[in-house]
Amino acid sequence: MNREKLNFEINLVPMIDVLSACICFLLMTVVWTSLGSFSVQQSVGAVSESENLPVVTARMQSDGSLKINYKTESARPDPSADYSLKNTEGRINWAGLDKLVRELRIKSPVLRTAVVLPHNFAKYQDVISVMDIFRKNGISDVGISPL
Amino acid sequence: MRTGYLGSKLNHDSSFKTLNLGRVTRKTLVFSLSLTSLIDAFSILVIFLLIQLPSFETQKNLSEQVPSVSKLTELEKALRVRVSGDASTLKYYVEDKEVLTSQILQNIQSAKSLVIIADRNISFHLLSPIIQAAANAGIEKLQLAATPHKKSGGR
Repeated sequence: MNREKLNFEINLVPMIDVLSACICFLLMTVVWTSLGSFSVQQSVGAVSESENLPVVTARMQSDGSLKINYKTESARPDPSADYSLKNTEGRINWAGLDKLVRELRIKSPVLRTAVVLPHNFAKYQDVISVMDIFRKNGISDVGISPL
Repeated sequence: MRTGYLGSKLNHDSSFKTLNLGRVTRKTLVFSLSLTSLIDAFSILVIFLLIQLPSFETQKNLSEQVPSVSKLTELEKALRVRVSGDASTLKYYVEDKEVLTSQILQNIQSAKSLVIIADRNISFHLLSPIIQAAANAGIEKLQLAATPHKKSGGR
């Protein structure tokens, strides 16, 4: 058989066309949103009191107000201070909460732990936003309490 | 091999004419584009995008409803617990398997950490059974699926 006749060429242009069209379609339909997480460290079992580090609890009320308390009164830097936050138009006062948490951190720099106590009908977004504000102000261990 | 290129259709396309002091000079360019590597790269890209397609779809569905936070951490691999629907049509899923409220604990007992996926507008009392079950199962680390805040603010 003639060796020359065995040389043939596959026309690759249509294949490249199809592959390019496929890539364009797939790239255009891809969703570029990043799904991440907000990590929460829950306390399980008996908590050791030996370290004696302050812990604050943020109780969310149904009217949008918030009450922040120290778990142990001895850890409270200013016993006379009132750490409750009134609502604004039936919603949580986000700016006020941010300011309050910042003040708390200045008063007790060792404060690292906060537990959020939501009410029955608290919106999930609001619960996460409260925890987010604590985390943003340097309170690294934020927990959530079940009902 | 060289004969093969010269005898191909490319040979006609790969020639051009230049005018040189009134004389027509014909120069022939013999080149070969290696298309194999290009097709390889294209194929790999297509396969990758096709494999990722279901994951992108899931992310699209989830990102529309999960809450937003200012600082995200990477979503680690963990047991996924999803809450879907509102109070009247509430359903709990553990790794895409529908479970009753009373069955959540037994389904998550062996897990070390949980990823909770829920709608941002859901009431906390519908989410509480999962957190309670996680506490009962001794799970310390909870990951709440979220997206980053939009520029206008997520709240």
